[in-house]
Amino acid sequence: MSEFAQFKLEKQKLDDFVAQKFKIVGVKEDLEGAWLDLEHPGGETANLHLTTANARKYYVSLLLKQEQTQA
Amino acid sequence: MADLRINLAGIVSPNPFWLASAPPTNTGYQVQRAFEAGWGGAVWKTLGDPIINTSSRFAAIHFNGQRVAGFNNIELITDRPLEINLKEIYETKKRFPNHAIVVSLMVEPNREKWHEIVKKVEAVGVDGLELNFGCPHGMAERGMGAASGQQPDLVEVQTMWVKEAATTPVIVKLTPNITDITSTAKAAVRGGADAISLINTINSLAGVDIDSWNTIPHVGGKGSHGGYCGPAVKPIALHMVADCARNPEVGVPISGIGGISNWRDAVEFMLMGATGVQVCTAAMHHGFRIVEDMIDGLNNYLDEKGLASVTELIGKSVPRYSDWGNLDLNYAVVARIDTDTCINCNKCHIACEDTSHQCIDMLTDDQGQSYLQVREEDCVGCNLCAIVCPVDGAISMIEVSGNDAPMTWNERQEAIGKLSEGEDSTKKEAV
Repeated sequence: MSEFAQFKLEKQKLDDFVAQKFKIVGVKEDLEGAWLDLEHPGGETANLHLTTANARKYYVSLLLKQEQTQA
Repeated sequence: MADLRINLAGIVSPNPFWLASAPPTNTGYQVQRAFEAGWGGAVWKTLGDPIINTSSRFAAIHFNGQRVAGFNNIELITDRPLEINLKEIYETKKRFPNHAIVVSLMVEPNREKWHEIVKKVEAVGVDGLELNFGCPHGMAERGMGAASGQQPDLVEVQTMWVKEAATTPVIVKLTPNITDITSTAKAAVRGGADAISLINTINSLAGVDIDSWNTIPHVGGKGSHGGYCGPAVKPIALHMVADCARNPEVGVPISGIGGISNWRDAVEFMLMGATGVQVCTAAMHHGFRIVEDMIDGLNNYLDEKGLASVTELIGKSVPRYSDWGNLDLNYAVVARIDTDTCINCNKCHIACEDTSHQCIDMLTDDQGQSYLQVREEDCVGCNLCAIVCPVDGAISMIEVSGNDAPMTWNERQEAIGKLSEGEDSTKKEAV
């Protein structure tokens, strides 16, 4: 799979969570990429592992938007 | 026609093109010849206790048909008595009162020695002094040149000693043979330097003769490291000039040196913070008259840009030079191939396939003609295809707008850090 195709998959997963009103509440980055903790206002939680560089860039763009919304 | 005059820390010259302290400025005859040709200033070849030079001194790197892409020398400072040099400096200044004559100096790290030579040199009417803390060979082994220039404390104290005696502006010439040139630049400023000049030559061995097994150059079968300069070192010099120019703790005028061969190079150095430039290798390669093209080219460029004075260029690109951590990660360019111009040599395809991101496809159209096309979604905008392409304009790097706002690495790390505040394991490095 091309890097771009993999990124699209990861982006889609993240966008789906955001569309369902999940918020990024925690992140751990290590040698395997970024491990996101997501939380829904209703209390439901989820995890997402992002491996591609573009996805690891993209989630922080979302995070910044999230911060702006909260501010 | 624009005004080409510059004023570097009080040293005025009719244009920004100076000859660097080196073989071209060894004698009054040469410097006067240079001024007649149009050079605005000259830094006289380094004065100090006269040395003895070797026979066989220079070597050059010729690369793919370009002669003197790089130049190496093992020549030292002046081998002529101080009195003779001073007499010729006096005569030259008298004949060319409006040209800048700066004299390069190098003595051992001794206060009295510095005071003595400064007073003698200033007595003949020089416009400024340049302290040679950069020569990497021969003199360094005697505790001078780069040996001094690699130690910030020695740079500072010797600059201070010179400033105690000097009445003309003092330029400190820095060695590039150091990890962070701003450390010695700041030391020079602490010592009272009025300006800095950089870079001196880079430690080098030009080559080894694979038949005789001698070094290039060699002196009767033995070689030693020399100083490397010429067009090949320009990117290194430009970076060091820029690093000094953007450092607020440096903050003094800069005389740019390092591979400057034409007016374009001079403009680049001035945009990156140099007030003027010094040239050596290009003059050694092509003669003093290259300055005519430099002056014409610079004049035309300034006219095209609508600038009245060359000084308007100084430092204009400095704010655009930053640390990697401040670059926008969401900025994107992709390669586009103009199939009308492309000659189908496939160099871009091979380069991308073998050493980059495998995003240039070889396709066949309806007529059975092969063509190359970039899969833009996989292109990371590395520029390699455009670099290896032999046809100007066949590959362009096109800016593609993204949906995401600009975000630097440092901003990214800050955002992640905020999210994880309070957790020990979440410290994020900024660069």
